[in-house]
Amino acid sequence: MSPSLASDLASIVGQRHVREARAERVTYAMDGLPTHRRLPDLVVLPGTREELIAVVRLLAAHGVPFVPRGAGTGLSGGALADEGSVLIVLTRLNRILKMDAGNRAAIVEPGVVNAKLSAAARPHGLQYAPDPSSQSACTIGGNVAENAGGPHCLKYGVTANHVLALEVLLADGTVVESGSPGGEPWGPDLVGLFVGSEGNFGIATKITVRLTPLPRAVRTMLADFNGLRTAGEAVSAIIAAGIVPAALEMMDQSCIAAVEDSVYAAGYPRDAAAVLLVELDGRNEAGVIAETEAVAELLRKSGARSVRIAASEAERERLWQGRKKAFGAMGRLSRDLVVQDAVVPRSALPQVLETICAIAKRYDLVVSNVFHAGDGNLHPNISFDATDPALKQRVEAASAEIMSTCIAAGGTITGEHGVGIDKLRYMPLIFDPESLGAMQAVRRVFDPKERVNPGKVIPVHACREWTSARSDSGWVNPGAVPRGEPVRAL
Amino acid sequence: MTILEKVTALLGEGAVLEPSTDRVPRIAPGSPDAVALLLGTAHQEGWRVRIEGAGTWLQSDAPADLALTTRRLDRVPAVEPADLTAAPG
Repeated sequence: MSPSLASDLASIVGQRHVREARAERVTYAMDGLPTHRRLPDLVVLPGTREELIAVVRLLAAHGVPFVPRGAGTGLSGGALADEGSVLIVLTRLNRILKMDAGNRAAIVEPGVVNAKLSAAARPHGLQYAPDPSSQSACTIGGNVAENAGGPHCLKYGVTANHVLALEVLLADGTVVESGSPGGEPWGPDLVGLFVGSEGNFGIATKITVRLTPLPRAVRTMLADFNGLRTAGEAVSAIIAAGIVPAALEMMDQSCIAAVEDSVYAAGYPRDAAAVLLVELDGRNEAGVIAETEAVAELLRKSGARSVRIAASEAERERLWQGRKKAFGAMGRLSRDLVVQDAVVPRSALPQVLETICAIAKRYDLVVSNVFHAGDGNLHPNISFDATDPALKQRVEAASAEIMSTCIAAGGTITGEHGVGIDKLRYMPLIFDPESLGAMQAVRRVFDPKERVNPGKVIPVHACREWTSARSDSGWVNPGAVPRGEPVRAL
Repeated sequence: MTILEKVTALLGEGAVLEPSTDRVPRIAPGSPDAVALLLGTAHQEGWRVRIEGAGTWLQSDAPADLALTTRRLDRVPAVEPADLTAAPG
């Protein structure tokens, strides 16, 4: 990296927004997952769209790779920059450019915090529906990159269902517009392609999001169970009854204990093997009350020990706070934590949960489960101390076994956290070389030199094999690549 | 050999429907493998392929040598109410 690069960047964004000192760069060496560390060579924090474009064009002129980063709450190592890369932090681009209540849309910069967007929409009777548990810190730009989910995405859909249009800055500094604020795009769906591309296609500089009316009636209930299996069966019973709750979340005993010992104590029963947090919402009280009663009845029939319906808004918020801060509360259990993000068919939940327990027991590990049960999106958290190499090895072996269990049950490797660097090794388990080659080819349309967020999402080792196997047409010649049978193509 | 003759040799007479209003041969493959075979051949031969569903659109002015309709790919063998999914076979 040329020594003048830092001063050239400083002339664009100002000296205090270029971080060169090691101590400053270490701040950005991790995301929400403490198991991956990468130290960027330089960190730059542009303050306006124009500064951002100038920064990217400067890096393009020097051929320097870069990694976009929001609040750094991601859970797959996707926003980490290696040596030789510049980290572009987007948190200063935090303006809501337009609140268009009449058309239920807003235009935001990538650094706008998720919860702040919903707070700004609230006076208009609207909300930004996708609500990752990190919503008090995470940014819309990061949400778009990861196609973030959240508890209420069961009913309202994930980020991809709420992005109407994008202005995207490509690796070479070109600005491209896609989608339409009306939500009826024409031509190829480039918005759909960009959402969830994990920073591999460029940086979203302006994001037009759909806003959703706030529900007029809400009921939240807590059901507790003696067994994980019965709780899992209750989830399937609710979904099979044709009811789509606003949220349907599960926490197991280890997670309950961590939450109850923390400042986020929500009054979850400590002796329960699992609790389900179920929320129903709608446009009229009577309908929501009737559906709440139907769900309470289903929960009891499925073996719930008790069902408690929150009697006040304060109680509702307390029940939710425990769930949303559970990941943080697990910091109490040990110094390190790995979290997985596999998705299994809901009907497979009871069996998969039991198998995960058995794997944890066999490796003598503490596994806490807190997850989006209604979506079948599991988050087994393994708590450990990474300074113990033997323990670290056991954690890795158990993680791999949990992942193969989920894949064998018809699941996939990530629901909402993304592949990043954390799940690179699992990609060949679910995609055959042809499918990975297609992803690679699409990425090169936007970033031919693979300079944005290099080394993420698509396994590099496999890519090298494909490069040598490339036919004259530029497409992969399937015959030249050893063909692995995909466990499940998506 | 005309395109129609080649396709008939490839997929059998059962896959050939009445031609579309613009007199382009209309082919209805009965399986994903048959689709792959047809598209692979079209790629080699340089045929322009128009993809159709039920063909309820207004008459197309897009030039094509062949219309591929998906109407015979209509099985839904896997419905999982507890997973809220239905998968084509």
